[in-house]
Amino acid sequence: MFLHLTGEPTQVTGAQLSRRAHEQPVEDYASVMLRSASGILGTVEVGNVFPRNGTDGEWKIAGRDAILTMKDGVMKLATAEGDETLPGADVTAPYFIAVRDVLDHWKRGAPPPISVHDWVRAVQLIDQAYECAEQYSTDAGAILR
Amino acid sequence: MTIRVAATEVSHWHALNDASYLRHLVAMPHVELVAVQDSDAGLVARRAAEVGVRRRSQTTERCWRRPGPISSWRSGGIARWPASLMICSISVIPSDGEATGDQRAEVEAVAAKAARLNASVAVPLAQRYGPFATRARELLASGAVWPAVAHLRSDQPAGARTLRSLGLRVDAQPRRGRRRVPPEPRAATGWICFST
Repeated sequence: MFLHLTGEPTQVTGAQLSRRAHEQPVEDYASVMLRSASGILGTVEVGNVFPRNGTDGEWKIAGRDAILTMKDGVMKLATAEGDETLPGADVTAPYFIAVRDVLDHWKRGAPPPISVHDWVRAVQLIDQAYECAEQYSTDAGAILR
Repeated sequence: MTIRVAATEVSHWHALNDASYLRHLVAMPHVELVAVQDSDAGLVARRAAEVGVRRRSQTTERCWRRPGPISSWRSGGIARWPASLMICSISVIPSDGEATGDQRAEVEAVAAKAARLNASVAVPLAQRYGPFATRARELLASGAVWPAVAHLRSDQPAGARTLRSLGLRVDAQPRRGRRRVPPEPRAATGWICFST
């Protein structure tokens, strides 16, 4: 999502992971800090700890003249003139659109709208995040020792 | 022209909306969900019942085995049918080699294989289709949110009891111990990989 919003090469500048909530072999929480080539800063948090069938999340992009947020299906644009509430979307709506879009491209014989090559750019950041988190753990362990 | 779809690994623990995906698929015109697969027999039965699909299996090979709707497509030939489509989760991406624990290498292997087979590998990244992404890109392009900072936070349901109630399970492996990916179905010429 950060790559899509910025459209720029991006680097991981910090990361931490946890598996303490469920004590499974895989992580149940991650927070990753990002910086795009032009200097857009990002924080991405992903958790798997919501206690029922539902979700909790908030997306925000902020700058000098405006802040755009989306939470609980409500999107809001805050500017110097005030707040503007905009149509949001439920959680599953984009998934339906995504599937339909993929199938439409498929039927036309067109390349996928978002391809595995886009995914390569995303997983490159995931690898960087793991490396960053591992380095932090090593450094913190050394300090504690 | 009907697109025939088999869905695999339908209880992957991040796949909160798998049943929603499948329900969307079966409701679409000219789309036929022909089979669902999961290594957990109970969960795949539940998913199959939810979306009214009779053909289910615990392995991807069985999911595509003759005689079945996919192989009957094969007899029709690509000129008559566009392709079969396999929907898989991130943990079972068909690739050529051992899982490395290095996601970039694994995905690059899938990309290389897709190029070699002239196969279409789509990654929905569904958030890109939402109104937030559209508006945020407009604001960034206009300079209204500059210098920009982005905070993207999401939390999905989890916990053993919650996952069981949703028909999901923790099937992922630790990064350095990811399981070997299974062989790809021969009938498929494309994949949609749902990931979080």
